[in-house]
Amino acid sequence: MDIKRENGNDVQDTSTPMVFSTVTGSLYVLLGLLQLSAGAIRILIGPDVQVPLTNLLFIPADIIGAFVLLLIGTVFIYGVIEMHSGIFEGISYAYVGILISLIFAAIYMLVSTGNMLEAYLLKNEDFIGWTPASDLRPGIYLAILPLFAFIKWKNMFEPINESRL
Amino acid sequence: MEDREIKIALTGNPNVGKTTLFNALTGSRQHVGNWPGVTVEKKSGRVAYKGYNIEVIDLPGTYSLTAYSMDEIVARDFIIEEKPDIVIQVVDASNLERNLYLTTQLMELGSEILIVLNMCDIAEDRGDRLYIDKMQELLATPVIRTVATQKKGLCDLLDKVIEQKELKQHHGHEIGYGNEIEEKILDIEKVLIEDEKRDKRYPLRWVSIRLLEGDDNVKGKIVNSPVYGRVMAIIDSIDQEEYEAEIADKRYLAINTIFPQMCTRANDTLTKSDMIDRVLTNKYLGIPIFLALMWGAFELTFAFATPFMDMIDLAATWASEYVSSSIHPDWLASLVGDGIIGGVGAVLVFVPNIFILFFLLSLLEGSGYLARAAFIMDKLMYKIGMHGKSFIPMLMGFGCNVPAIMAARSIEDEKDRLITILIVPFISCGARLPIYVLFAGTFFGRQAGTVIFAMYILGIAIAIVSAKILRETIVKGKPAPFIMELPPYRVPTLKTSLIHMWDNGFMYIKKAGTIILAGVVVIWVLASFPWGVEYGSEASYVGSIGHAVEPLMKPLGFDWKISVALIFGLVAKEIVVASIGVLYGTGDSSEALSERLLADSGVTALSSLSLMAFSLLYMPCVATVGVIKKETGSWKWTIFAIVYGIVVAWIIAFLIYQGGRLLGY
Repeated sequence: MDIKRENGNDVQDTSTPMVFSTVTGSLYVLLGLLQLSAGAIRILIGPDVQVPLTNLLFIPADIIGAFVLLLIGTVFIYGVIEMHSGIFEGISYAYVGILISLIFAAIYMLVSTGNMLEAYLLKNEDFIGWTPASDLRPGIYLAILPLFAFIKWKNMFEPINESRL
Repeated sequence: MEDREIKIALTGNPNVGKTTLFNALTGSRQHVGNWPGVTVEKKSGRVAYKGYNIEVIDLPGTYSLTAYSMDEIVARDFIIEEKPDIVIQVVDASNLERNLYLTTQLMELGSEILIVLNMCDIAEDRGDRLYIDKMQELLATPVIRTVATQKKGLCDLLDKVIEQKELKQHHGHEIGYGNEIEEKILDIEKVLIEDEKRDKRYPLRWVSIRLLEGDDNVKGKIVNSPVYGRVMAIIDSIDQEEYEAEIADKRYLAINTIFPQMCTRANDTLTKSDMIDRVLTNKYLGIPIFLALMWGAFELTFAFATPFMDMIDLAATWASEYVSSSIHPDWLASLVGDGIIGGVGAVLVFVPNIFILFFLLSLLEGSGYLARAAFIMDKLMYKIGMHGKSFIPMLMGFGCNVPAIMAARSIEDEKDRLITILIVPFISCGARLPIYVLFAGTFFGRQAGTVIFAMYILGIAIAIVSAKILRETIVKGKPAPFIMELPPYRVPTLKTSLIHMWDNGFMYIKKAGTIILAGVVVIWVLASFPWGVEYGSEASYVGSIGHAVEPLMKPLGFDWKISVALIFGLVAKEIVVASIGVLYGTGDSSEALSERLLADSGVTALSSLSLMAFSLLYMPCVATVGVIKKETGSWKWTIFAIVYGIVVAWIIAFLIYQGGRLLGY
């Protein structure tokens, strides 16, 4: 993140986090809506009807997982709205959005690790044919963007003195 | 002979690190949490240092010594009545001003004070500057800097304790309250001193100030004094509320005068804690984020634990087979195989779930997030007539209901406290988890995590609705206003989280070896007799008991076996699963038990849902009933809690089962 000088004061430029939050938030919301549709169709119609792109994008028919994606997306978009209105503290939403997306990615990966143990170590018959791709889902691969942002902006979220705002 | 015994008391505001310091000094493993009110009873430990035997007492956190809540009374009474050699006030350096209010009150009590400055790292990270020498000079009290989490500064502290004890030097310090109030203080002191038989442990000036502030607890201590009437005549002549406010103002004036000389605050800074709070306490996003995080925790508790459960299952199945084939006579083989291994084993299989759940709860608590959960729920809680602080005991109830009910002591208002005690048993504790894992895992496959999460939400919902009903019927009134300090977010230490996980998980294992073992032996006896009947059949005693209660349970979808298991679950909820393990005679294999349950036409997905809800809500375990009696001091409320829980459980289970059937499930 850049620090610009404006009227003699240091002012933080939020344009990069804004672009990042817009892109990431939109992706989470979009895939959340697709996952929600897949889940709703599975309940209301049955497993025979497929929502387009769900197989290609590894989207499970999981309604609660869909709410999690929508929630993460909303956090990012909420921050975009605040930053766009000139509220610097809106950057908090980008920070927390990154944290929550990484927390849920970690949860999904730990669940997948459990399944891997079932399939390869315990040879559980319920997991015959399981591969790591079986558990791939938007909550995991979408977190790559926040992960890069977290690494790149590690120092950005250090305490910020108001005199610099 | 020289006195080598020193008694020190740790006091201070809630959540400033007293218990962390206590653990560091004494080597204890008392529970530490990142929210106010973790310590509700005083704890004692010892440390030997340089030939001295030092007794350390950890007191509950308190913002003042005004005795508005039970934990404040515990702290105050200890300091006054036990007269520790030194009172160590642990102070949060990042909140110095507010912490000094208690300091002023401790000084009035005439205690020998030593100030421990904790959390300096947080203050300095945000740019504050602390002048410790100046602080010592202005407060006329030694100030020691420690980092209790890293065990830094402990030797300095103990050296200073010994030095203070040896010096026997008292640092007097008084706050002036202005002519008018000082005259009244003097008037009361003059009257009180005439009573030769008064309790001399209480300093006269302190008693006089407390009486002017309208302290009922102190009034109660002089009610039998011959001078009581004259003291009350002075008190009645003043506007007490005005005096109370004026006294508090004077204390803050004193603090505000000295504070700038001992600390320079950085300009307002947007810290990481501020950033996280802005989002997690957002009025629209706060509750959905809370629910999502809790769902994630339960999903992980179920899914990540499954392979570890299977591993225990495999090992125990082998042990069970080995024992059954090598033990004679048959009845002994049955007792060990069907009874002990079948029952206790059925419970032990869930140890991984318990450990993972407690580890995750410890992470959430240690990070400071659970305190935010209470904050975001406050508005909703107030609307339904509950105190916001009640949500903390409710969250603690996820671990165990017993300490959760005790945690209600931090609630000042008696009615708020009573409602909290009555609704905490609806919160799903760790002991109920094996029931959910068994039935959700058997009947709901990959949706098991979500079903378990739904049970926890059901518990919270029923607790909230019950609070509303109680507030509008039996315990009428409005909840007191809620003020709670939000602790800063911290990265929880792995060590603390692992200790918390182990302590709670081990308690579960210990129960399996004691109360659950005894329970399964009783069930085995009832399932094996009268002599000669088929084990666990309808002709056995257990079958007779089951059939006796079956008519009451049939509308909920429970057959006689499930009914028996629920009866034995009154002792401890874990026994429900153990009893099912014994009655289905599947050894200790949870996989075999699941298969037997699936094959039993008497148990369906719908009835298992009804069973999970009933197990969640019906009478709390014996230990919880005991603590309800202790905390309410009333058999009436204890019996009410039991009966109310059973009735609510029956109604909810009935609605689930019969409603589901009406919908065609």
